[in-house]
Amino acid sequence: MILETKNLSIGYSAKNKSKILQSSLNLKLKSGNLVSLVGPNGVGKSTLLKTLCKLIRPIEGEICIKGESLESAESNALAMVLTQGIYAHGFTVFDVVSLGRYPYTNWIGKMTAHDVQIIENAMASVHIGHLAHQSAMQLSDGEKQRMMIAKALAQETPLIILDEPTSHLDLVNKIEIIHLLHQLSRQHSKAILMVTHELDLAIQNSDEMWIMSQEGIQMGCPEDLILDGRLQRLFQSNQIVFNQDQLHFQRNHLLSKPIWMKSNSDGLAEKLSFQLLQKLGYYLEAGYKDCQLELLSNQTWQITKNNSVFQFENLAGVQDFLRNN
Amino acid sequence: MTIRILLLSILFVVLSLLSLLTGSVWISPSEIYEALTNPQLNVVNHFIFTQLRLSKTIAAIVVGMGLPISGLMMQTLYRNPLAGPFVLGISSGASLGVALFVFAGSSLLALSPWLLSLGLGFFAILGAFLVMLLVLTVSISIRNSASLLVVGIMVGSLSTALVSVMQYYSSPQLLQRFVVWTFGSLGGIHWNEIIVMTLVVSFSIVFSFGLMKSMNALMINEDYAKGLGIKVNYLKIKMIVLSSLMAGIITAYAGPIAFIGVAIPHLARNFIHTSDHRKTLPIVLLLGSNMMLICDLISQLPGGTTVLPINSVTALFGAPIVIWIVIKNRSFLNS
Repeated sequence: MILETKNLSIGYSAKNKSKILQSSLNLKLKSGNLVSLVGPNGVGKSTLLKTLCKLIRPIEGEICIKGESLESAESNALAMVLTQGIYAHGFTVFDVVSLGRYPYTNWIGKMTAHDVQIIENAMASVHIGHLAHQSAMQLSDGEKQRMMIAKALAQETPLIILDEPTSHLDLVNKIEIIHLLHQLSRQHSKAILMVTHELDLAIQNSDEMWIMSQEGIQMGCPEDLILDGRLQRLFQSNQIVFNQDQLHFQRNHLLSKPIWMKSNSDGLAEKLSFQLLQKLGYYLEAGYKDCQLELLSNQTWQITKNNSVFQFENLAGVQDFLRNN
Repeated sequence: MTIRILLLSILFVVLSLLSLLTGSVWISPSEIYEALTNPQLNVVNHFIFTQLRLSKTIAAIVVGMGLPISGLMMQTLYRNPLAGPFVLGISSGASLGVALFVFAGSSLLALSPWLLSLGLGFFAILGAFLVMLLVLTVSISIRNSASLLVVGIMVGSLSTALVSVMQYYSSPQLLQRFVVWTFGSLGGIHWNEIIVMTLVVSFSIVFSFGLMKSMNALMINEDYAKGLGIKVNYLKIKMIVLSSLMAGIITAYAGPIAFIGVAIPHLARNFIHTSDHRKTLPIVLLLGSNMMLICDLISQLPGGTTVLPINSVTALFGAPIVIWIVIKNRSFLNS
């Protein structure tokens, strides 16, 4: 067990009043596991991370890292990657990653060949080795995030904690970063805990999910959490439903108009046509004659409405027609 | 890096020697040798060298090392390339301390020179420290860098206004003492003041070498620094105390000297293309002392017998550099 909390209460304490966000948390985190912490905004996810990182004090309870109290733990017990920006004008990527070696070096920060090797390995594991001598402030958001993950790796801690590592990133970078964290947890057998709002990516990649709500934290394997409905309950709203076929959350479309869809085409064109119909508020009703959509091929759609027949070469045409008629 | 340090060191030696030789009269190296070996035969030269030249050169070096290191620490602490002892009102705070001490009463004039020097230094450091604390407190709630500078300038104006009020009610004799002090001067600093200033600045510089690594982490991100096991609050206190010590003691004895503190760290970072304090700190020391020695040489007006106020000379160099920093960092300062 890398991380264990006993009866932990978290929140903010001002002068004489404290605001408790979560209480009686008994969390357990094993090495080699990628854990995603999900939940609505304002429920205390970032507060929990900050408490675990010793940036704010717990209101009550105990945090143990490798069986040792966090209060007395060395600075190389855990590494963190935060959402805040860095002010690194005049520092290279190598300089920033080498921060991770600070707890290991002497007063002037003299690095041994061993330290340099660790830094280079860390940069290579996140694929930024070629950027080592670039200015840290000139990196893209995705590269900056990789740099901070490399810094965390260079700290050589058994636990890495990340706060929304994929925010501000484009889709490709989001997928790559989460996949990277998944790999790192395997290759380096580290425990990795991240807060994320990327539910689908979290379900696909994490070994364990912690669902935080006003009522506390539910822990479990993501598949189990879906199976017994606990994940769905997190987002109880008319707007969102869990798609059981495609295993992801999606918008709950308000479907009011019937249409009969017939298809002679392969899977993708059919699925996309179906998605378009949902977006436009149609539900499928076989045998409905007044409004029919037929896929003649991958490039031809035919709509029969009130006995008139129209043909379209793309879905944009279908969309325009259905919206205006 | 090594070549740059070597070049700056050679320049440092040359400028120091030039500074020793020049003044209102030129004393050649052989004359200095004569004066030092046979003081009785060369009374005038011996007096000029030991009482004026040597102290002036040492003052230039100490001021040129202390103020920029103080500025460097402030720039790191506030994450602001425009921070410096003068810009943030720290020098004004020191002036206020000096004014309080000077105007406190004519009875002080009866103090022994040593006590007078120490008192002056103590009050200047106290003033610098209090202003620094005030600006830091404000900076916690104001993240905007431009607003922070405005606060610094306002605190400076406030100190200046208080000093003016004190001047109005003071005796002509004390007023004259104070006005002469505000011109800033490297010459005419008493030996006991030179000793105190050198000791305080050397101690602060040696101590700041121990903070180089932590300052890198603090500058990049405070929370990451905490995560690396750095006790950020202690580090900040150390930086405030050290920079106030240097800015305060220098202002006390050499007067308010503008722009050196803010401009030199910036020049150093550009000279070696890095903000890594382990590399900038030695470069700042060398660049700063060289710059002060050059300013000193210029202020002697070669060939002339008058001496320009050192404050004007540093402003001539420093003000354009500050404008350059603003232009270079416009995107950052707008944020």
